[in-house]
Amino acid sequence: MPPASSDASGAPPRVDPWDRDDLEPRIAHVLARKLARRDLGPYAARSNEQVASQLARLYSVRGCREVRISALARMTGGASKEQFVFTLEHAASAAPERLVLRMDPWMGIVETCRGREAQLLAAYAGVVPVPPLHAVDADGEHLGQPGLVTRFVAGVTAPSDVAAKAVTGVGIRFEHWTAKLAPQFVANLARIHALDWRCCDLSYFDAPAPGTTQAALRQVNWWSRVWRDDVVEREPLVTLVERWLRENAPVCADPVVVHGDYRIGNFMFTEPDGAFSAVLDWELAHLGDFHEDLAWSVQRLFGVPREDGELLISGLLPRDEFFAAYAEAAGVTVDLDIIRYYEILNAWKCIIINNATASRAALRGQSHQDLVLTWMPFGSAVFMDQLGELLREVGR
Amino acid sequence: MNPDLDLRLKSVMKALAEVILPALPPEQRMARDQTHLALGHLALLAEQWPYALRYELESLDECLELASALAPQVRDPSLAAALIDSVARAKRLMRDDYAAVGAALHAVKAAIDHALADGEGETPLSAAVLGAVLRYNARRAPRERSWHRASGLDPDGPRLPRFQDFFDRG
Repeated sequence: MPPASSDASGAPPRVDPWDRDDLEPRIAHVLARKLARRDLGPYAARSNEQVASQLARLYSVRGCREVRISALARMTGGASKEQFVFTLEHAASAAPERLVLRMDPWMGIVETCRGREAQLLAAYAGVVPVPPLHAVDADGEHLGQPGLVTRFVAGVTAPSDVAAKAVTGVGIRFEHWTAKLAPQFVANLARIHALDWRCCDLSYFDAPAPGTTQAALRQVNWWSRVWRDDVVEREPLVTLVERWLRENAPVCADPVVVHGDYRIGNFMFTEPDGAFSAVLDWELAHLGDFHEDLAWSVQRLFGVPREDGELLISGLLPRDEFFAAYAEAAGVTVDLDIIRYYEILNAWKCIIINNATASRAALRGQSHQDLVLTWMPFGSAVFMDQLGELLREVGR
Repeated sequence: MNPDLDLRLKSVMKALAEVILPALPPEQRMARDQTHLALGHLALLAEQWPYALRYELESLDECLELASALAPQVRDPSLAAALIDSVARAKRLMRDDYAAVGAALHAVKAAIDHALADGEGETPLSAAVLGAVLRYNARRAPRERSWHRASGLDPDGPRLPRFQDFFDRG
C-alpha cells in the first residue's frame, strides 16, 4: 500500500492519522520477529566460548581461512545488546584486528535492526566519527542472533577524572570538558542531518513522503505497536497522548536521517584532547524530521543541572543555546512548536520503552540485563511529569 | 518476625558490598556493574517495602477518581458501564490485601484504557477528558518521582520531597 498519495490538483498528500499499520516494512518485520521469540523462554547470557565459535563461523562463511578469535571479553553498558570485544586473525590478515560485536539477546529494551545500523555506519564513515563497520549478520544466520561487528574505537563516554554514577549514560557529568565537547555535539548533529541519504545504500529504510505528516505518524505507529505488544500495566497518560499525537502531527517538508538517540552516553571522546571518536547507538535511527533529534537531546532525564540550577542538555549546554547553535550550524530555522510536538512524542516513547518493553523483557527473563531493565522504569515519572507540563502548555 | 525483612535485606547488601564485590576482578566489568545494580535495587526495596501497600492503594484511589471522572464523558454506554463496574468492584475489595489491590488497579486501568482508546472513536479528544487525565497525572507523577528518587536517575532528585511524606501526611 503506498504510504501517501497526492491528488491531481497537486494538493499535499494526506496521510490517515488512524492507519496504525503504516510502519516501515523492516520495522514491522523486526517487531514481528520479537513476538515470534516470545515463547522461547528465558534467555541465558552467552558464554565466551559460544560467542567465539559463532564469530569463527561468521568469518569463515565470509571467506576467511584459519580464523582465530582470541582475547574475547564481555563489555558492559547499554540495555539492549550483548557486546563483546575480541581479536580476529585469519590467513590473509596483515595484523590482528581488535573488534567489537553487538548482538541481540532475545529481547532488549528496544527491538531494532542490525542491518539498518550497518548501513548507517557505512553511510556516515568520514562524515561524523563512527565505529568502522567490519561485518554484519542482519538476521542472525551465522551468529544465531542478529549481530554487527565494528572496529574497536578508543575513547570514553564519561570523563575519567569526574566522579559520577550513571546507568546507560544518564547522569554523566562533564564539568571542565564541556567547552570541548559541546561544539562537537552540535556540529556532529548538524552533519548527521545534512547527509544526502538518497545517494546512500539505505535499502533497509523506507522514507516518509515529504511534505506530509507521515514522518511523525510512522513514529507514532511504531511505538504504539510496541506498547500494545509489550504493555505490562496500562497507563492512561500513554493512551491519551497517542491520540493527541495522531491529532496534532506536524508536516515534515524534507526528511533527513534522524539518529534517534543522540544524547549523553551515546558519544565517545578521547582524553586528554576531548575529540569525538565515535557517535554510538544508531539502532533507533530512521528517516524523519530533524526536530525529533533536537527534542530528544533536550529531554529532562538526559539533562544535568549546572551549579546555578540551569539544566544542561545532555550535560553540555543550556537548551536555548543548543537550539541557536544548531540553527547556525545547520542553516535552518528551529520551529519551537514542532520541537514541542516531538518532545511530547519522545517522552511518550521513552515511557513505552521503559515501562512496557523493559518490563516485558525482564518479566520473561529474555535479556542478559534484567537488572538494568528493571531499573529503567524508575526514570519514567520524569517523562510523565514532563508530558503533563507540555500538554498543559499546548492547551493554553 | 525474627530475623525481620529489614535485617535480611541488610545482611544480603553487606555480603554483596563487603565480600562479593571485592572478590570480583576489575576486568569483570559486567559482573561488577550488575553487583552495584543489585545493591541499588536492594537499597530501594529496603526503603520502599514498608510503604508498598500504601503505594498501591494510593495508585488505585487515583485511578478510581479518574475512572469516575471519565464515566460521564464517554459516549459509548458499554465503555461507561465498564468504568462504573470496575470502580464498584474495586470499592468492595479488602484494602489490606496487597495482591487484590494490585489486581484491582490493573482492572481499573484496563477499563480506563478502553474508554480512552475507543470511547471517542476517531474524533478529537474532548477538553473534559484531557483535563481529567492531566489532573490524574499531576497528582501521580510527583509522587512517582519521589518514589524512585533514590535511583539517582532523576536530574531533580535532590530537590524532590521524600516519598514517605506523601504517605505519612495521610
